[in-house]
Amino acid sequence: MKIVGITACPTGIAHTYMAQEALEKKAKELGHTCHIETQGSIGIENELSKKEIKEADVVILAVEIGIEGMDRFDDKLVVRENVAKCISDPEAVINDALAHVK
Amino acid sequence: MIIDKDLILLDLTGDKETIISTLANQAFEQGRLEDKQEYIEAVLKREKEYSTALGYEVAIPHGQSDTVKDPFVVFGRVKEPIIWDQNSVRLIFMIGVPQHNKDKIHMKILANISRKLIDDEFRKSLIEAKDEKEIFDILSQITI
Repeated sequence: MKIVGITACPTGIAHTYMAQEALEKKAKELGHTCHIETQGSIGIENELSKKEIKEADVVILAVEIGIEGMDRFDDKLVVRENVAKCISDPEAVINDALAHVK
Repeated sequence: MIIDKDLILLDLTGDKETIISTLANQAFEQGRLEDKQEYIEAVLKREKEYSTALGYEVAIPHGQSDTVKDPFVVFGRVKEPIIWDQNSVRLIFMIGVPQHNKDKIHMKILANISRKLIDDEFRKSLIEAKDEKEIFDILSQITI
């Protein structure tokens, strides 16, 4: 499966990036491709390409602040999660998100 | 420098509040804070929103406050694992960032430290490191 997503925590200092790494690492272990964009104190990093969004089976949004570029996902399957859970249990987050894919 | 040999403390004991206070005191002694109490309050306020111990035996308490002059990380390692909210914690990365921070380079280093915390080998090397110097060498390898 192909997963894309965005992480953004309230302060944008640390959890945004831990969540990105946890999701990408776990998805790889589970045999999926996963690309997570971060919107934190240093702005947008690892920005999702149009192609990646188009090809994605599911979009995981772990965002606790207003983010930029929400309109990119207008016709996509979007699952919302909290940032803390992406860090503490990335496997559950990924499996729950993929359970929505028909 | 965001990381400094003098900002590494080993064999800590006590509960979450004690450790935050000990690490804040070290940051203050090293001239990283203007007002220690104000910083501690910012950290505890952040902890209340949700715990910064989210597994991996790591906690990353952080305070964003104008009492912080330049971004820093104080590294702490406890003598025995402690319970930090509901999670077991051995390594503490306490972060300080100025409220109105424009320093992207330091923030990128903090982002990369955060990413590295997910790496099992990285945490293992910090848990097994024998002294402050060894920890400093490991942390210094993280750059932008």
